[in-house]
Amino acid sequence: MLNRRQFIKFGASASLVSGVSSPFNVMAAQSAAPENFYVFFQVEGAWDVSSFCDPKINESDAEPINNWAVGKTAKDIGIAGNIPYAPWANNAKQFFDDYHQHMLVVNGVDSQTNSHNTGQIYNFSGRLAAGYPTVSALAAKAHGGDLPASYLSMGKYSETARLVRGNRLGSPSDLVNIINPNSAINAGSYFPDDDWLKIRNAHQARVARLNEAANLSPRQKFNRNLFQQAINNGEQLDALSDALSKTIDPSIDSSNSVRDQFYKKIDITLGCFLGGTSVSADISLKGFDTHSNHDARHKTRLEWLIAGITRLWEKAESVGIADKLNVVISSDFSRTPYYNSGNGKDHWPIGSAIFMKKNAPWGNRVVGATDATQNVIKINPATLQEDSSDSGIIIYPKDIIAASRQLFSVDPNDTIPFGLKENTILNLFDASAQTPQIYDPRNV
Amino acid sequence: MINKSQNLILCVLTSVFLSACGGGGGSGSTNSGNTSPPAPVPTPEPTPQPDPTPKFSAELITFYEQKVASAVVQASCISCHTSTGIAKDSGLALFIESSTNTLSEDNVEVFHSYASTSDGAQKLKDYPRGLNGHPGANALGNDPVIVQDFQEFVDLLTECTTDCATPTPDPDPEPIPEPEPTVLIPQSVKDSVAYTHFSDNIANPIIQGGDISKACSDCHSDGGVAVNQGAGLVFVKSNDAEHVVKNYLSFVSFLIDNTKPKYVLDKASATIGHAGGNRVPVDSKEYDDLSLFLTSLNNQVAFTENISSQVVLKKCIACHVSGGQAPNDGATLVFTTSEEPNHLALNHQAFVDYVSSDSQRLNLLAKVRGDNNHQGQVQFTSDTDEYVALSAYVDSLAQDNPNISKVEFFKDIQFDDNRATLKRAASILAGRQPTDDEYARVVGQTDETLKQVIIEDLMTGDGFHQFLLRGANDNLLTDLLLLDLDQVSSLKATDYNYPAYTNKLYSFKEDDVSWYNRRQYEIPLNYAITRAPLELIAYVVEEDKPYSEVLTADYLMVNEASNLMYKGLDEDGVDFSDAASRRPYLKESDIFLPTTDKGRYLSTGPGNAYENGDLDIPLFRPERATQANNMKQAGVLNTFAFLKRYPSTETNRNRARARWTMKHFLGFDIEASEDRTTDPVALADTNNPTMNNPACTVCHVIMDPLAGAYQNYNDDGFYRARNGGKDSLPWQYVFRLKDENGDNYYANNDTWYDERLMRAPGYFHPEQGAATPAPDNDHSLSWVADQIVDDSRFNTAAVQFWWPSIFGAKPVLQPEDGGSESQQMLFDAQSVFIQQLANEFKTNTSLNAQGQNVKVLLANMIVSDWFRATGSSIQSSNDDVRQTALLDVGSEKLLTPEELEFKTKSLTGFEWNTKVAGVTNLEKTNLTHEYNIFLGGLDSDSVTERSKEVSTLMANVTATHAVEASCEIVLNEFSKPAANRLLFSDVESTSTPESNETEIKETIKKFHHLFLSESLTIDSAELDFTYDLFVNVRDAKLARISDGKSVNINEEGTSCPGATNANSNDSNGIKSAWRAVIAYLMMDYKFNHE
Repeated sequence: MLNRRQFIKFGASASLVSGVSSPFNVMAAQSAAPENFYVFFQVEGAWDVSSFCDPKINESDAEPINNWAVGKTAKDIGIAGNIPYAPWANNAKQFFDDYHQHMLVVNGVDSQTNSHNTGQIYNFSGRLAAGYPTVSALAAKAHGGDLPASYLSMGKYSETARLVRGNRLGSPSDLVNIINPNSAINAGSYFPDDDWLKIRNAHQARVARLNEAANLSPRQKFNRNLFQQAINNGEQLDALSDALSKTIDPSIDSSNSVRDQFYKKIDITLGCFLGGTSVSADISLKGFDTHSNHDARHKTRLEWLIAGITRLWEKAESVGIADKLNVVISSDFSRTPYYNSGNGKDHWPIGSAIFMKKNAPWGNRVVGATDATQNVIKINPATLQEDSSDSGIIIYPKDIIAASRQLFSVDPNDTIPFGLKENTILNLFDASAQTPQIYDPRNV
Repeated sequence: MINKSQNLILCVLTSVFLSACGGGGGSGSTNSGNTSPPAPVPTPEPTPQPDPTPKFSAELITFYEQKVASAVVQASCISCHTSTGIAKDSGLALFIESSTNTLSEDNVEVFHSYASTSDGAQKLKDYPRGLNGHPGANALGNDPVIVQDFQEFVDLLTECTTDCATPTPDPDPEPIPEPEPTVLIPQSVKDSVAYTHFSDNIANPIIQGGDISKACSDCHSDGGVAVNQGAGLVFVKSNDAEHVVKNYLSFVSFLIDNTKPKYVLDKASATIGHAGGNRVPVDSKEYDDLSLFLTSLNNQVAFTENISSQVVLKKCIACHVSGGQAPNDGATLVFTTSEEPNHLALNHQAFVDYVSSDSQRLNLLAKVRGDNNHQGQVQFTSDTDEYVALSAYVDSLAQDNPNISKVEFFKDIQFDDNRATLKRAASILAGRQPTDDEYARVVGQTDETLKQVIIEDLMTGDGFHQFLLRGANDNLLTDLLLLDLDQVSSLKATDYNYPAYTNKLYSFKEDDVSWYNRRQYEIPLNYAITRAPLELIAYVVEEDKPYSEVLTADYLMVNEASNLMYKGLDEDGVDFSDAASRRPYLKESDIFLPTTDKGRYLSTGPGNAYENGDLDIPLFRPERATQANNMKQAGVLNTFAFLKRYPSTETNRNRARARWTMKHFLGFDIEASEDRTTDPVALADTNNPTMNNPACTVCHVIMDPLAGAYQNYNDDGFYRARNGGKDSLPWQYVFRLKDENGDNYYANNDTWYDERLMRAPGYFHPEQGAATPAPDNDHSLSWVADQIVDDSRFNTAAVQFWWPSIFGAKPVLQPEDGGSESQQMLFDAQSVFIQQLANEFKTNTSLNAQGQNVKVLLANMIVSDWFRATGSSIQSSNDDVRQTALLDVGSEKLLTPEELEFKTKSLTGFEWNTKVAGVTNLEKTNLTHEYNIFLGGLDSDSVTERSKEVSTLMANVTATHAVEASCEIVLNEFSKPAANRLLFSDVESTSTPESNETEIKETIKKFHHLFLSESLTIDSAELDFTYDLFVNVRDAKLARISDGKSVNINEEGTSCPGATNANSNDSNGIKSAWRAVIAYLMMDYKFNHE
């Protein structure tokens, strides 16, 4: 016996010979399952990398860089494979132990600003000027332009430059409710399938007529075309219900806590990947702008971030798409290597970024470095070793974005109609080299 | 004869080339008129003459203007060293502006006087570098060039203490021989395009009649008919050896008397009355020649008269000069100083060269206004005479340039008529459909009439009120404070500052009131406090008050809930007894009235007035408190919601508040205003970089005085919150922060940070390049509000503030390097229109407005091409740039969730599951709550911009909406008497295609108009498609019934939750058919776009 959804599909096919001309029965061709998925974590507010992936002990405990480092020496710095980390957030050790093989840490990234807006634009698009798309939007355009929700724009900065449509999502249960508009999950009101099919066909035919009308203004033409694409892609949402049921957590569905909203974004992202409706996502976690009471507030956020990234990988593994995941983690910039008088940390332009991919040959490495007080150390672009000569370079967000594009398999020349200018001479994924770090317990 | 004007222009044109107009005494004034026979030299009117004995050498003045004025004085000194500044008693009080002399000479005089005092020169060298205890610290910054230049300037001053002046003219000079009566004009003029063209194509061919049937000079010369009848254009004949020069100057003189080239052309071609007839036909070569000459000449004259001294030499030359800051930064517009005899011609040509495209023209004007990353900030605001003259001048240059293609932004675009415009306006502004009477009043009428109906009929009621609240919140985002009562709400810390609230909470504690009941008190109170700034904006607009009052209002808005907190302990507060009757369309919680804040009590000690003691709840102690009666409201700026939405920290020091104040009310986003340094050393500077590091001061000199104006409000937004009630400074600063000597920065009675750490509270005036200090510390915020509304940018910001609410997209930003051509085109066109709107808004007095009336502004937006663009016949595929630029212009914008909710309710009465959303106190439906983010709405928190493009998920939400609405709409409609129905007034559920085909089709036709804004004929194909759906669904229903399925509209176990009491029997299939039609229409593209 056919269930309701199967029946609708069958009916839709049958309608092709029911007297309605074919253009009016456009059912979008099912896109091939994406080969890879792309996630960019936007750590909103500027994270303290000296307490995470670019660990700093104190030169003087009287004027500490980090309170957690008081009384500690370099040998107390954590190390997982080749990656030093701060022994601070409760789950940091587990995180680095579990994932260092799949992780490239880039330290000493100079964001060249201390303004949040500018830092977010620069670190998430590679440009200081507004209006340029995120790497995830580029990836959606390149690898999933035909998907119904190719780009999940759940980041703080989510510019698409009109290459693709950004999709913002609310709670998972609300998403489930609209996958099939003619279901009655909550309200109990829906059409008999036969009527619904007639309405859908008439609707699609009408949309096509509107789209073919003459003398449309550019806005009319553009918006009508978008609407037709949206309608025609609707059928591709069918697999989403089952996929979401494997990734979402009903126990946090109605929670509005910052942590749970972050987790929900991760769960929905995985469901949309698994369901074949999406190919990329920006996911932000807010609250890192800790100008006061830094230690308590920042540590909690860092633990949520680590837990969220872990959640992504573990759930991806459980539903069988971990091999396809490509992940970048970055932030506005970083925080000062000292405390202000309110026990907070202010803005500091020198930060870090992290790339992750399961079993990446370029994993278990750190590129770029900072000195004992988190100032940039220039590196040689070929050897990736410290190089204070004129040959040495500083890593900028544009280099991170260029590498992100490389990881996300985006060729901007094939994707967008304007230049991006984030070319880089760095090859961060050269597995043969890495940059020594000032605090590496193996050297003590 | 040469008249007075000719004489003056000869001075203008020759003075700069020959050093002076007649050598300073007028006796050498260039002679004019006929030389044969010699004419008497006319005695010119006395004219103001330049000071014959300039006190300082041109070298010194030039050095000052190029190296010191901008880089040092404007950038640093002027913030303190003015006659009213904090360094007014230092002996170095510089001029911000002088009405009697140039700024440069005045300020050099000040420096010179100071340098002349004992050790003055050395002090000038030391103090700006932060030495010898200069309170302004290192004002010169770390740029060695600036430091060296300033030292050199002081050296020049020192030399000047003995010999400043240029040589004084001999009081008894040898008599200067009377010059030959020869008309001289500089070679540069002779080389100009205008003169060359005149000499080649006008002087003989036209004036002397070489190529035309009759010479101009036949009548337009002494004794000629035209001159005898009073014509102002007087030539000499060709027998005058200097006729070319003299007749050229005649044109100069004629044009400078405010006569436009077109007048001359129209006369010569007899387009207007010309006694001499048609001497130069409009299609002739001579006409074209004359036209080209006159426009070129007119531009040169305009430059000489209106631009050179007023704009270029007064402002631009400080940086835009060879070796100056502007060319060093890459600017291509470079002027020549007045030292160069040819500077008039050269500088005019510099403009001609620069305005090589329309975008360059707009770019130039934008930079003058301080936009487009102009490093020199604002030089002239758009309401100044100088700007107006410059705008006219460069406009004329662009028109004169045949290489500049004029972009007609709306070419081949069609526009909505009044009826369609009114319908869309009603949907957006009022959330409803126009009435038949409203349609009738606008059809075929003027834009003024349309505007009048829009203002009088649509800008009223709850729909408009909600429109205003929504539009205001889309900018201010204060509704964030409604979302989570426990984390970020307007009530945070209020129990330690408002005793009425403190006491209320204490009584709850005493009475053991439940958590739930306490929430029922807190939720509406938080709503009331949070909505105060939005309600103030709505109040100002609805009451037709000048928009400036959103900042200058000395009152705040309260409803009955917040009235209890703000009224103080012993007062009655606002009387709400008749408030509901004035605005009956508002629910009680949305009725706000103005009052003043009398509820704030300061802890004046001894001890904390809100002592906690051993209790777990604050306890108010009146003996330790005093009413804060010195507070003064500054519109929205010191509402809790605004202050808490943009909280501060000890290190932020109100800068976020300053940033957003400038963004919302000056249209100035300081984060986008300057290129940021790429120098990591500069960015890592820890030596108080906001005061000393030029990479930082470039913005902080603007931002920090405004941040200081918020001095009386602490991080949580409370007035003078520190114990003692004297200030809101953080205790860490007061007690812990020490200077290099170990002394506290804080001093008794300080209300703001020490000036070594932060700039004094004030307001940065872009035109002055300096901040004006606030006159007192008590009311610095209300004072700064006055400054903002007096700033011409306030009017532009108002347009930008409301732009997205009408047009569905934010104003586009100036594209930076690498931006698209279409974005530039859109920006250019949009900038012009925004400026037009702003200029009109400033003084709008139409429709009984008294200036700065937002209703008129909104109406002007709606009747504009930008709103009404609705179709296009643009054919050329190579016009892609313009088509892309038009993507956010005109009709069919995606409706916001709120607009869709209003539209659905007004048309059908349907609301999709209305409920109070969480703790917000806001009634919302599924469209604006559960699916708000899906549909592109904002949450004022992590999502702060609306989507403007539809996605698959959005389309599924609107389809779900349609499915769930349609059953309820149809059943409820048919359960009412026909006269009470919104939709089915002309058909019944018994009306079948067999019996009532016409009525059904008429109803469908009406629906297409109501739902989709389509005007169909009864026999149109589109109507037939809908009718076919009706018939097909009905036939299917009948077929199912005949197969034994349910006669109820609800089949397969479905229900119609919102119409459980309605008759759901559908034995004839008509209700099912209408239900399908309603769903079909509500899913439609045009239902979701307006």
